[in-house]
Amino acid sequence: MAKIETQMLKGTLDNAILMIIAQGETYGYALLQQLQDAGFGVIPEGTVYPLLLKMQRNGLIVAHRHAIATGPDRKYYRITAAGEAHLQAFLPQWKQLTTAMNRLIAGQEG
Amino acid sequence: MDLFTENDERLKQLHGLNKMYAETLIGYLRAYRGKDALAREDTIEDLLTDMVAAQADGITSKDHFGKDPQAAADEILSELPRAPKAQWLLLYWPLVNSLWDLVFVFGISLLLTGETVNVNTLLGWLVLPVFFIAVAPLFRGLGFNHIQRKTKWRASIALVLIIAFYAVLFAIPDMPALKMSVLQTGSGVAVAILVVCNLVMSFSLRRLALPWLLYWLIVGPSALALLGGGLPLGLAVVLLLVFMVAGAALNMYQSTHLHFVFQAQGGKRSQADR
Repeated sequence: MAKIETQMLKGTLDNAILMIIAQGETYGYALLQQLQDAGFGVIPEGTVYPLLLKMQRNGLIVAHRHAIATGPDRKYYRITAAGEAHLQAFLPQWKQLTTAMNRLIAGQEG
Repeated sequence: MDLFTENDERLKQLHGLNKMYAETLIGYLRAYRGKDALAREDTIEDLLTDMVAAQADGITSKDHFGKDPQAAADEILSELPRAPKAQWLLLYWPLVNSLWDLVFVFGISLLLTGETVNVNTLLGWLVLPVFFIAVAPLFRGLGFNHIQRKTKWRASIALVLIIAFYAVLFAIPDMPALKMSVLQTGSGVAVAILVVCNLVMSFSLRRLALPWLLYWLIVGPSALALLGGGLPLGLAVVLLLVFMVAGAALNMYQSTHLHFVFQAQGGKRSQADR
């Protein structure tokens, strides 16, 4: 899988993370794996963690620690109502952008 | 065990290059004093927990966290809340007390042995450590393999400041020796100020200020009394040495046990509060 350029990722990664968290609460290490499974490639925690902090500061997600039997306590992230609203606003814009990009790509290839 | 110590234990679970990588990163995060210590340690807990998990999966800390840890750490720091005012007291109040303790006790031992103290010496004793403590954060980030330009600039500025400081110190003309009565009065006033400050602070930051209040109430009058008392010189010097060691031990205890404001207030924070 080719590595996506950092600059290209910057504008979309926080929304991708928010969408993953919206599917069910998750923790940092698992989130890296989920991003990889979704096709984003290997993204270092040094890139993801500041975004998680920023989203918490903006009230899009909340974090709370769980004690788990099989390993160390983990901080789990859950989407908030503000986060849901943010996604609702983001998705139409993203769809418009991808439609436009796909049209251009089709023109380039056709 | 508090979160700071727990994180030090987590760090021990990393090995070899992973440990070195994490140590540098955590040292850098901790050296920035302007951020809330509890939020910072909470972040360090997350990072270390994940690095340990990555190590167990055969992933190096560098591959897991990234090839530019300083840039990532700077981004993390920018998202953390500012340090509360009391946290600055936690960092510097033991230093203020132990610094004056060293000057006070050492000054009295010099007077007892008939030596003189002038303003230059006193300034050197007081200002030199404060200056170096103030300049130390400018050397942050030198531990990373790839040193950023801003880190080099900061370290260069620190070196220039140190050279300029010594130049100023040497340029000050020699002042006459201070009279015994002036020193006694000055020391007494300084101790009284510290007693009052510690008394006021002990209402809110009990574990930080109360030990120093008791310390100064015992050491201040006792040390000053040695100047006029008829104790043999050897015994007086031993007593002063005991005072100095006690002050240094108190400073060391507070530096290693009071990491968070709630600890200085005398409270405990349970896992459920986090």
